[in-house]
Amino acid sequence: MSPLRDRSQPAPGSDRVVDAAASGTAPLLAVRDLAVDFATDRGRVSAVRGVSFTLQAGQSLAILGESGSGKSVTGKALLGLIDPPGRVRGAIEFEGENIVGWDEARLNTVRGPGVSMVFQDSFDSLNPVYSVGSQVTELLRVRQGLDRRVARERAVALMRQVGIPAAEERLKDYPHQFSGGMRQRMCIALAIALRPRLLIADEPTTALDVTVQAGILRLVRQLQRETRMALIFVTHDLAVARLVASEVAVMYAGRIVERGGIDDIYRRPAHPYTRALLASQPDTARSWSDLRPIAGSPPDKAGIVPGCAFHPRCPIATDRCTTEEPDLRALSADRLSRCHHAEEVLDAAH
Amino acid sequence: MLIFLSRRLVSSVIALVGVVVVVFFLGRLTGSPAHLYLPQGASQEMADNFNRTHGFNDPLWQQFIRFVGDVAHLDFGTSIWQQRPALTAVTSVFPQTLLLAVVAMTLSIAVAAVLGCLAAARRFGPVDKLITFGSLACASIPDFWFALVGVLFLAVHLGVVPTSGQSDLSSWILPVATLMLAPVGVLTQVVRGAMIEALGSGYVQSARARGLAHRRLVYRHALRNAALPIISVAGDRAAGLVNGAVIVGTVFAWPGIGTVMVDAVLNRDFAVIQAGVFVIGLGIVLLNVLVDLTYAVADPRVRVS
Repeated sequence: MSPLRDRSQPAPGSDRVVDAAASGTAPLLAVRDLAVDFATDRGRVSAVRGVSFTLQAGQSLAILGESGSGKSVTGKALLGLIDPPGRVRGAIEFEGENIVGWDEARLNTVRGPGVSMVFQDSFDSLNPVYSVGSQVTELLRVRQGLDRRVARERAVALMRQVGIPAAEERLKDYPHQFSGGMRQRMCIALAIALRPRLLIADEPTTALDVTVQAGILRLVRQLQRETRMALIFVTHDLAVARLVASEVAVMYAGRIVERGGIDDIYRRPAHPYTRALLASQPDTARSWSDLRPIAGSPPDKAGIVPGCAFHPRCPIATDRCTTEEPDLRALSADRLSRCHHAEEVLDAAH
Repeated sequence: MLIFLSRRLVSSVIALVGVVVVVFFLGRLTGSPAHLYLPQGASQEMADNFNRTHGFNDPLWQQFIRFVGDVAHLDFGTSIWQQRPALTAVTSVFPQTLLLAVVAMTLSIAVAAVLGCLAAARRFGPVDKLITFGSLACASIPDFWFALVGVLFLAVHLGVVPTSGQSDLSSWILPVATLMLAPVGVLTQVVRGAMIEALGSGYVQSARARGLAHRRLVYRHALRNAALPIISVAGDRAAGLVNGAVIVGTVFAWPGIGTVMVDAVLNRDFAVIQAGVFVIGLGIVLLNVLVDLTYAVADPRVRVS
């Protein structure tokens, strides 16, 4: 066990993040032992199994993982968007208040000006039967009590802010009249309309052309810097995450398996899963032989294997990994890894 | 949109012409009206006379050409039974049927919208189960049975409504209820399904993520989208009210197109049958145009393209 390990309550399976900035100011968001499961015909299925992290105001964190890792469910839980048969346990403290278990009316006070979200599918996220202008002004009028004229002016300003050309003329256009990139910009305008202190972006560029992706990413980063809002960027693409976030939490099978500074992790991963993820990305490969898909598939959520959840796919798994589940432990002041062999992985990267 | 509408209109008119032609020949398969109108044991001479007066002795193709020529001037001939122009016989009662249909359809949509939304918002709960069961029962009960039982119970036993005819407001209750039965049953299910889909959609979820109140999500964001399937099914059901009009005409002696058509068929009153089919067909063509227009109002993707 690492001497750096900071664990006041050694409950198995719970994450405790050593946050460099945690000393002093209270965090904007503190997630503790977040667990989300869904009742299905085959019993309860866990999507998130004990996730803990904190986020300071203005900080940008990428949550990285494959499909089914629980990253999107985590994002939705932060907004209270998990409905029955889903169940949320643990604590989500936003500005010091635990929002888990709040009713819709109370959650609605946080949604918008507190936490806001941009979803993956921009076409699906906008109501097809209302013009984009009416969707923005509706929000401003209902939530901020602006009158029609002021709301309209503010809507145009928002559309300009997210880089929609000829904003004034486009107010009356419908979502299907926008291109994919412009539509996602419109979704971002809606998400930042109430000036949120935390923006969650759930794979906002996955459905877009590569040429458009860069523009959206630049916009997100620029907005985050200008408005000083915190950002949680959910993605499966580490290269994309690097463009917008300074920190990363890698998720696997409903848990955080590695956390740290994003450039650090990009250079020297401390978990075999992160390493495999990097090796499977086309941008880091110089030739086809460098490109390695991760063998096997993520575990079925209904039946998590004993020991380390990643061991069936892990190239360096030992007997210990098949029986004893590793804790998320600190390797240095700003690096956490959930691997028995984290030091080896870290050293091997050099 | 205009091109789409005119294309729809042209195909509808072709269908209407086809129906009128088919009815012309089918009607004549029922036999000669002469045997029906002349006293029993009438001589062949009398029958020939009757047929000559009404033009039934000409070869069928000649009758048909004459019919087409007349219809081109909107002349559907004279009713043998009613002794007045067939078109007048039909149009004089059509408003009664139309009024009944409009009342029944409007109420059906209103009732189905409320029940469907309630069921969708309480999906799989007891309220939803009750509404689903009730609407399936409504859609399954034969309307003529419902009409007869209604008369037996409300009119004969309780005496709160008249057994037949059109008088004060209470005489509307059973005809309207009979016509509403199937549309309410089917539409409630359509509203429920469309609302469940709309409430689970991405735009409702993202509107919810922006903190809009539940009621606003249901009635502004979801219902407007759910309106599209509701409109098309409601249009289809409205056309189906023609069947209901016949039931209402027969069971309640409602003075409408149902009664006139049934009488015309029983009396081999070809002119009225043809005029009736034409008017009903025209009504359904106009209804379809109305449905298309409503669709365009409700859905910008139809309107702007």
